[in-house]
Amino acid sequence: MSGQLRATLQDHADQLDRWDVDLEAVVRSGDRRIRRRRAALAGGCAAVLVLVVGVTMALRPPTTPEPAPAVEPTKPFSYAVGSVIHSGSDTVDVGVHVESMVQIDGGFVFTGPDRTVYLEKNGDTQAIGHLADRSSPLFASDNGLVAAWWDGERIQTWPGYRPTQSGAVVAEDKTDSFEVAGTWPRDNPPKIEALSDGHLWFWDGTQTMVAEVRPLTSTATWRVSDVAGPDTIQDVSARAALVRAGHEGPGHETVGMAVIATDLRDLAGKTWPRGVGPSTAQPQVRNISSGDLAPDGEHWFTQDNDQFAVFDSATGQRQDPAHPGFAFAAPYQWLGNDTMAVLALKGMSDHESISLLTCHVSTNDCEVTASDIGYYGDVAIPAGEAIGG
Amino acid sequence: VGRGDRSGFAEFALARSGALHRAAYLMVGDTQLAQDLVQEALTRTYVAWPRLRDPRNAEAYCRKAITTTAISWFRRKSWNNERPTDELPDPGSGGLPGPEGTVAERDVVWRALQELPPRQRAALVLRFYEDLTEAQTAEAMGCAVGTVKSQVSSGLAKLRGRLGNDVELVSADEGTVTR
Repeated sequence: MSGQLRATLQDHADQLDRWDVDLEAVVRSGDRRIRRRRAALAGGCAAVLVLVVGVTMALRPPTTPEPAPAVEPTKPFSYAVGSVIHSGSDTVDVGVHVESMVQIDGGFVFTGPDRTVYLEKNGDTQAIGHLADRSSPLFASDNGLVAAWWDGERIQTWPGYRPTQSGAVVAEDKTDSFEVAGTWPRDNPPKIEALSDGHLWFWDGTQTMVAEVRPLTSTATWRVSDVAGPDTIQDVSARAALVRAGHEGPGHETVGMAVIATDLRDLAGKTWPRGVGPSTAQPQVRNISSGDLAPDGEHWFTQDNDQFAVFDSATGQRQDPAHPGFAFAAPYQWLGNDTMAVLALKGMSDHESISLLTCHVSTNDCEVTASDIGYYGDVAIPAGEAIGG
Repeated sequence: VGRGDRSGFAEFALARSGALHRAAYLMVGDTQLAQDLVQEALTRTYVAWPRLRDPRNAEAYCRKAITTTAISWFRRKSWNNERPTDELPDPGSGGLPGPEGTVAERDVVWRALQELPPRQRAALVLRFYEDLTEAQTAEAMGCAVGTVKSQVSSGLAKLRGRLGNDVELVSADEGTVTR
C-alpha cells in the first residue's frame, strides 16, 4: 500500500499529456554553445599542455631549494554559480556543479558533488583526481602555480613538474603525489595546512611536516619541530607564518594568533631557531583562532566568530573594513597584497542571496563586485571549501 | 558532437524525454515551464554528451540539470519562500481517508505540495516519484545527503501541518526506511 503522496504524484504524472521534445531545437542550441566554448578556447592555449614556468626558478640546482621569490598575484575576481565559473569578464560552463574551487594560473581546480577533482583551463575541463571526503579542502599557492589536496591515501599536487637538462622547469599536465605516514590516528587524519612558495605544510596524523613541491626542483620532506598539534599552522606566506599560539586550560586562557618569521632559505635549520617557534610565541591577538595571510605576509584577515577583521602582522593592530548595507561579511581570498574578496549577506536568515565584495586594507572599505549571485548550495567561491549545504 | 554521438543522444532524448517531462512537471507544477526545463536540461546534456558516454550517466546528468535549474528558476522569481494560502480546503476533521484516497483528496495534497519551497518539493518528487535513494537524490540536487534528509523531513512536516496528521502521506515503512 502506498501513501497519499506517492499516489498523488503518480496520478498527476499519468494525467500529463504526451509531449514530444523538439530535438532539432536542442541540437541547434547545443551546437551554438559548443561553438561559443570553442571560440573561447581559441583565444587561449588549450592545445599547449606543457608550460615553461620560468627561467629564474629553473636555474636553481636541486641541492639549493630556495623558495621562489614572492610575487604579488593579481587574480581576477572569480566565483561559480551551479556549473558556470565566472572569472573577470569571462564565463565558462564546466558541465558539473562546482562544489569547491581554487584559482590557479590560467584556470581553476574544482570539485564536483561526487568528490571528483577537476581542472578547468582555457575552457577545457578534465578530471584529475578525487578528494578524501567532501569536507576536505583544496589548496592553491599564492602564485597559482600549484594546487594540492588530500585524497585519503596520498597528498596530490597539480601540475606535475619536470626539470630539464637546459635548466628549465617544465609543467606537465598530470598530478604528482607523495605519501604521508603509513598509519594515523582515526580521529586525527592527515590534512594540508598551508601551501606557499614551493612548500606544502601538512599534518601527517602525528606531526607537522613540510614537503618541497614544484616548481622547486627538489622534493625533500622534513618534520617541523616545535609544533604541538594540528591546526597550529594556520597559513604560511612569503617569510611569515600565522600560527595558533598560547596555552589552553585553567589559568592559561591565552590562546590567540601570532605571526612569526619563517625563513625557509635557512636550510641548515629547516625549522625555527630555538625560542622563536610556535611553542614559545605569545599570542598577538587573543580569542581568535584562524586566519589567512596576505601574499606578502604584511596583513592577515579572519572570519572567526562571524567577524570580518584585518590585522597588521607586525603590530597586531586591528581594522574592520566598512561594508555598509551588509549584515554579514566573511573574507575568503587575498586577490593581492591589499585586496580581499569577501562574501556578504544583507540579512542573517538562511534564505539570503549572496553578494561578493572587494575590500581593501589601505582604504579600509569595500565595494560590491557581484550582487545577488545566488544562494548557499548554488554558489562556490575560490576558498577551497564548499559553502552552505 | 560527432555523428555517432548525435545519434546516441537522439536515441536517449527520445526515449527519456517523456519521463523527464513528468518529473519536471511534478517539481514545478506547470506544463510549459516543465517543457522549458527539459529542453534546457537536454541541451546541457547534449553539450556534455561526449564525456558522459554511458546513457545512465546522461540520465543522472539530465535529471540533475532539471532539478538544479528548477530550483534556481524558482529562486530567481522569488518563489523560494513558503506561500501559505487560505484557499486550501479543509481536509475534514478526520483527515483524508486511507492511502487510496479519491481524486479530489489527492488534489488537496497536490495543492499543498505546490506550496512547498522548491528544494523541499524537488526532494519529495525525487524520493517518492522517481524512487531515488537519498544518495541519488543528493546527487541530483547537488547537495549533501544530510540536506536531503532535512528537506524531505521538513517537506513532509509542512504537508502534515497543512493536511492534518491523520493523512497517511507516506506508508509506514517509507517513513522510516533510509536507503
